Formats: sequence, structure tokens, C-alpha cells
Amino acid sequence: MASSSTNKFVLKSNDDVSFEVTEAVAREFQVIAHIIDDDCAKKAIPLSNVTGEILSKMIEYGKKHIEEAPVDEEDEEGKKKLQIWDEEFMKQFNMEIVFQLILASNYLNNKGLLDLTCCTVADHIKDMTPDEVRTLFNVKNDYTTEEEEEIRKENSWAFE
Amino acid sequence: MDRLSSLPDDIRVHVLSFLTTKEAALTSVLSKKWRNFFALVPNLDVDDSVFLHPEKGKRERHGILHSFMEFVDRVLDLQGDSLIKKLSIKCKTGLCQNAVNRWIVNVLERGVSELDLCLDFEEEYLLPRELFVSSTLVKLRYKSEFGVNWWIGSEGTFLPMLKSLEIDSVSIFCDSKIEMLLPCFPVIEEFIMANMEWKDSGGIVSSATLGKLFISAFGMESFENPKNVSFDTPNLRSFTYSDLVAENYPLVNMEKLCDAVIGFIVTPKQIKQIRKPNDDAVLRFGNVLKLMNGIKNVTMLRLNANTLELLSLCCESMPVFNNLKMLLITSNKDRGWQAMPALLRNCPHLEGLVIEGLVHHVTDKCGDACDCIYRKDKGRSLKSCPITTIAIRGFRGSMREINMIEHFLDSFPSLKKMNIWIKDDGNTELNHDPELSTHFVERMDGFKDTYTCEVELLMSRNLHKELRALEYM
Repeated sequence: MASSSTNKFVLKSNDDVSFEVTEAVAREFQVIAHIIDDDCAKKAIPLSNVTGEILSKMIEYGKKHIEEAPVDEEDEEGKKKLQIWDEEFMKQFNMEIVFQLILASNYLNNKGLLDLTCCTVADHIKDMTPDEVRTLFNVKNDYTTEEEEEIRKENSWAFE
Repeated sequence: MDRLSSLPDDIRVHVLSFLTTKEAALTSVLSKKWRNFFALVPNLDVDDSVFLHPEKGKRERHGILHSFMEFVDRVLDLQGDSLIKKLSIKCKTGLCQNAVNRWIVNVLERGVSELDLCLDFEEEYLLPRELFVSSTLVKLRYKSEFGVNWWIGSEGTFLPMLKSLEIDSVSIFCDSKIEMLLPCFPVIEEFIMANMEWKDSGGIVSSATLGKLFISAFGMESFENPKNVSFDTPNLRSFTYSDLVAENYPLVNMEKLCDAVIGFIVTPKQIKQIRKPNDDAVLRFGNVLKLMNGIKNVTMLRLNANTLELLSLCCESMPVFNNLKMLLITSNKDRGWQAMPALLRNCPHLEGLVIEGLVHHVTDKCGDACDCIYRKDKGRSLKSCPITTIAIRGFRGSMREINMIEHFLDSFPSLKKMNIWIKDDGNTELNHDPELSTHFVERMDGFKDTYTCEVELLMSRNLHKELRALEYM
């Protein structure tokens, strides 16, 4: 059997963009790892829920995490380096892309990227008032003034 | 389009799980879809210090504490009997003990695996009994400024899943000794007891599963030194031990140990006995050697100044640390380096040495480990030491330290790199004495020309700025 560093697979996005990746990178996404294990990966692997733009970013993330993987649990320096790279990586995206990455990493089952993208959204919520959160994420307030007043009162320890 | 609200529920829960419960609770006001959604997060983080922000005195304001406790009750109610992973409670004064215990019992009944409790009740407080017989608890951390009451009647304790126990308190009141307690945790891997007043600390610490043991007791002068302390922990990897010296260490079984930190507590009176050893002192402290023999397989060893001085009693029988790669010594101006030559001679594969503070108590027994006083027959402990890197921490810039650095550069034959960290408390000799600083900079330049070893001076950014402003650098 060929080793996972020489074995290549082709991932195909839903808008017909193909990416050739090593087996190790492909296995970063658990759904693809299962396809490989089931030996169904003879031709290109079609990914019906991911666009080429998003897939290219996910592959970039997967490659980095293979190449720069910390040596072991105690490799604090390695972990820190990767964490800094993660932060920089997320800075290039607007919210629309972040949400697409969340859904795609959920679909392809990459826990690291799902955590990273969800945490990015959480960081935005953390630093904002509810009104600001509504504006940023386009959340429609369907409470009446009285209802909203009541919820704020219930949680007065948190709001005031 | 509202991408946030239209995320699948499990992903929305995942997003909220990165927030504290307070932050997550604030989302309830966004829209009806978010009304009680945050309660689905399987972690609950009850931190009453959030009262204090952003407004001072908020805790004291009428109804605030009540609103908070009602909120926690309501969240637990909304969660029903769903599984919960973790509950953290950080609680200063003001919360009702009954409420806190009600919350703890609630999550225990729902199979909680992790409890992180930081409870500072001034009045006597007892954890609920259910906690001591939980069959699901994996991790328990309990911190308190006012002492910890372990369950009175603790012979009934049994936590079959507990892997990690951390207790951080000034004192732990427990009617059982550690040796009685450990068998109650059949799969324990991590046992941490920090900052405690450990009276009657003698006994045997025995566990086949334990990988990390951290015991930090602050012994008081009034405490008696323990008689016998034994460790039967064959799978221990990491060992931190700080207590009064026991009279004997009959059994120290930790063959797989990787890291050890030994920080003995020794009173000034005991130091006098150690420096003028008679049979009594050797009898009282000489068994430290048994502990050292038990940990001799380590790759990383850290000793405080007291421990180094204690080892002066057993220089001749010092074990060989064959695996030791990294040795860290904390020094102190009132404690001596008499054991340093023997220690260095017995670390044949040492790669790195870290010395926190070069200044130590001058004796005529330091051999060639320092050049504080002239000695005719110094020995060759440094000449035979294979270290390639050395780090000096807490450097103050005194002449004595500068001379010692030169002595090290002269004596360690394989030294390739020396890092000197300047102490950053704004109160070192370098800060106050411009003449000394100039002299120091000249000597440093001289070192760079004379030795092939790379010498680097390091400091925090603040100190660097300060010294540059004074044109020292």
C-alpha cells in the first residue's frame, strides 16, 4: 500500500473545482476519511455541499495542521504557533464566509476548524450588546416591547 | 439573511458553548428563537463575580443576588434531566449555601462529569454528601480561601470514575489521611493538593493509577516534622512535593517518574543543625537521601534552596541521575551550595542548567561550583559537567554575580549558550548604580570576545526601555 504522504486524492467542489491533495490532508476531514476507508475513492470525491472557494480555504487549513502539527501533547510552543496561525487565518474572512466555513466543516467533520469558526462567532457575540449582535448578524427582533422588557427584567443581574 | 439564527441547533449550541453562561444568557433577548436556547448548552458556568462588573457595589444592590439565584434555578429547571457535562461555580459571599448545594445536587443527579467549585463562604460550609459517592464525576476542583471541609464521615467516600482531584485551600479538614482516601478513587490519575496546612502529613501515598501528584503544604514552625512518608506510586510521571522534611522515607516507588519538583520547608533553626551536623541532624534529615534515590530516574529535576542545602548532608552518597537532562536550582542568599559539586558530578547526561538567583550563602564547601572564596583544592565538578546551555534567572548585576558568570564561562567545557535574565523589579543594582552598569556592559562585551559560548542578555520590555532612557544600553 502506498503511504499516506504519496497517495493522492482529488476533491471536487459543487461548482466543479478540483483539488488534488495528499491522503493525509484528505483524512483531516473525517467524512472523506470514511470514504477512503470504504474504498469508494477511486475517482474524484464529489462534495455536494461545498463551493470551490470554501474548499480551497479548508484545504489550506488542513495542510497547515498536518505540516505544523505539534510534536506531542507537551509541545506548548508548537501549539502556540499553530494557534497564532489560526487567528491570522480567520482574520481574512467576512461573516458570510465564516458561516459557510462553519457549515462546511460540520458537513466534512473537521472538529478543529468547526471549533475555530464557532469560536470566532462567539467572540463577536461576547464583545457586543444584544442590539449590536442583532445588527451584525441581521437578527430580526420579533419580541414586543413589553416582552423584551420582561426578559431584561428576568435577567436583571446580567443586563444591568 | 439571518445566518446566525438559521444555523442548525447543534451548531448554535456549539457556538454558545464558547461563552460563559452570563454571555450566553444575554442572547435570550435577541429574538424568540433564542428565548431559552442558551439553556441547552451542556456546561454551566455560574460566576457571581460578574455582579461586580461593570458597576461597583452592584452585588449589594437590592434584589440583584436574588435575581441571579433565581436565574440559575430557572436554567436548571429548563434543562430538566438532560445530561450535563460541567458545572463551574465561582462564588464569593452573599449566595445562599442551600442554593449552591441544590445546584450541585441537581447536576450530580444528571450525571455531571466535571465540577469546578470556587466557594468562599465565611461561615462553615459542607459540600453535599451526594458529591462523595457520585458514580459519574471524573474531574473535581475545589478552591476556597476559608478551608475545605471534606465530608465528615469520609470513610463512605467512593468516586469510581474520578481521574482528577484538585484541592486548593489554606487547610483541609478531613478525618481521614491521604492513605485512607486514595483507595476511594480507584482510577485516580491526578491528585493535587495546593497551599494546604497539612498536619499529621505522615503516611503512605499509594496508588497504581496515579500519574501526577502535587503536594504543596506550607509547614509552620509549630508543626512537627512528619515521621514516615512513603510513596507507592509505580506509574507516577510528575511529582511535586513541598512539605517539612520527614524523618524517614521508608518506601519511594516511582520508577517511571519524568519530572520532579522538590521544595522542602526548613526552619532557620534546622538550617543551623544542618550546617553543624551531629548525629542527631543526620538522623533527622539524612533520610532525604532515600527520597532522592527513589526519584533518580527523572529527566527534569527542580530543587529549591532548602533542598539543596539539605543535600549537603548526603554529598558522599548522592545517587547518580542517569536520565537527568534538565536541572533547575532556585537559590537564596541565606542557603548554601555545598551540595552543588556532588550533584553536578552525579548528572552525567545533563544538557541544561537553570539557576534562579546566583547569590547564595558563602561556605567553604562549594568546591568549584562558585568562586566566592579562594579554595586551593576545588575539584572538577564543572569541568566534567556536559551541559551545553545555562540560564541565569533573576540576575541583579552585582560584581559577585558577574564574577560567577565569568567563572561558569571559564569552567563548563561544552557550554554553547548562556541566557541571562535580568530581574525586573526596578530595584536591582543595575538600576541604581550607573558606574556598575557601565562596568557590566564592558565585561559583557569582553565575554563576547573571549568565549565561543553565545551569551545573551534578556529582559522584559519595560526594563529595556528604562535602561535605554538612562543610556545604559
